[in-house]
Amino acid sequence: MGSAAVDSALLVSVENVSFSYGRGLVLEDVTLPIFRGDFLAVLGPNGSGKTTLIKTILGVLKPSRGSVKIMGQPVSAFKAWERIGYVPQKATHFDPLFPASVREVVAMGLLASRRPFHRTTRDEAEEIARILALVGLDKEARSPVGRLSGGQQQRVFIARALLLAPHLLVLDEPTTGVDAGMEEQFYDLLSALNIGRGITIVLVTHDIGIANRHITKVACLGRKLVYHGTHEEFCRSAALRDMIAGGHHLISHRH
Amino acid sequence: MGAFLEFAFLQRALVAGILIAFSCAVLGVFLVLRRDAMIGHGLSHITFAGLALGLLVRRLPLAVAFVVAVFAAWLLVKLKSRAGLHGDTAVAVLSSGGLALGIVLASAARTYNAGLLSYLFGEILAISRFEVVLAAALAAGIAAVIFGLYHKLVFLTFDRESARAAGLPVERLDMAVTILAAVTIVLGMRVVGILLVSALIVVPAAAALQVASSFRKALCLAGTAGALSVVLGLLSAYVFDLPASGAIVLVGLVLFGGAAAARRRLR
Ligand SMILES: Nc1ncnc2c1ncn2[C@@H]1O[C@H](COP(=O)(O)OP(=O)(O)OP(=O)(O)O)[C@@H](O)[C@H]1O
Ligand SMILES: [Mg+2]
Repeated sequence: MGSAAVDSALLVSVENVSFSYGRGLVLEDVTLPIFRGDFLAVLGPNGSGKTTLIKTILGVLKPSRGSVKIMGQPVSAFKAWERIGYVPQKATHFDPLFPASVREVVAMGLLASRRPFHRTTRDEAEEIARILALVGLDKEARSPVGRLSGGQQQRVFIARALLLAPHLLVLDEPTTGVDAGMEEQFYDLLSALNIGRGITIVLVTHDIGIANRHITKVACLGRKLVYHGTHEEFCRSAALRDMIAGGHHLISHRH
Repeated sequence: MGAFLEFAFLQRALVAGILIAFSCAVLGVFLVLRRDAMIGHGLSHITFAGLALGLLVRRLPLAVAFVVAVFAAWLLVKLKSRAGLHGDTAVAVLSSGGLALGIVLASAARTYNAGLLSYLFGEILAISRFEVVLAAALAAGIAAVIFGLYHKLVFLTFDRESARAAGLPVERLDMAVTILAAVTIVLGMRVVGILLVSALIVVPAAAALQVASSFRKALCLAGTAGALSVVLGLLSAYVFDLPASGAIVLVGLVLFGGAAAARRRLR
């Protein structure tokens, strides 16, 4: 048993989690501790269960076996969801005719967590403007979100996840469709949030090529947890070489 | 026009029609954006089975239809979440079941007659004072639920996955929306009939979404388009001696065409 200090440093604890959508296990006996301040990259080929793992952590899917705890509480009893920011994979697959401005989309999570008939206060409006500036969308605040490019939309979702000042930020392939320059900036932003504000980050990616300057821990999935350790160990380990040799496209497709 | 408003039955038709069309259209904005536009179609077929059952047992066909529609709405949400059926598959399964059952029951009740036909094609001009009050009460109820849950419903409609991860009670909200849809369908059936009721939900909402720049505007425009369809539809039915239900829906389609054209211009 760890000391109290170690336990409070444990933000999310995935314990012996198995999951099946019906036939066959998609996750098998995955045990993965996530500590406060981690910048964890979750790697693995298509269909290896990355998104499924994220969804069990967020309580969207219930594990068939094992358990997930957030801040010491079982997910089912956890209430402070506004402390967790989430950018889903395919977030940008919404109806392009959806009548909402960038500002409105960013405020959605905040407003939904307030009581009925709540209107944005001045403080909240200022915070929204600040976050939009942070992701470089201050000029687009009033544009309909469907008119933005895919990469800009992705930044809208990142802004929404940041608005509630989360302790944990979970991003499922957030830079799909974001151009290389913006991607660079985006990872710098994540790094600043991680180091500057101590926000814990879980990032699902195929792209350790770019991310590797910032991440601190790596988890490789292939139904089971194939590898878990620090980023330095990972670079020296056989796991990396195996996965590349196995034809899994871990490194960016844009060379 | 003056003569038009002198008839009490026309006044009742206008008031009830406007209230019902408004509720249908506002709800329609949520349904269309969730790609659940066909839910109205499916639930109307089930409502047909409910009506036939009511006619068979010779008890308050509208009340029986109401209970059956609400139950079907509940079942629909369960089918989607438990059986993992896609939205449109669950709707298709339920609606074909409803229609088939309705045909069998109606034949057993030997009611392929004017009574059943009036439900199929609507009978807004025969609306009673009681039904006007009922329409007002239900429209108020729907408005209260939608505005009370407004931010949660908008979040859920835009991005289901994130709404779920943010801890919103997604299934309960789905249930609320679907049951409201069932209620509006039964009411809308009196206005334009089972065959056209899904148009009251879909057409004004689709028109509004062509031009609206914010969610609030979309709700206002859809409600207005719905109400306008009823007013202009009834007026043209009176002037040109057309069936009211067909005229109301055709006016809605004209509004949709106008909105689509306006969108092209705006670009
Ligand atoms: N809703 C679902 N129903 C049934 N099977 C599913 C569902 N979602 C995912 N799966 C299956 O579970 C496995 C893991 O899927 P998951 O989405 O977790 O993979 P992933 O690692 O995120 O892949 P990718 O890199 O393509 O995003 C896949 O084999 C997939 O076919
Ligand atoms: Mg995935």
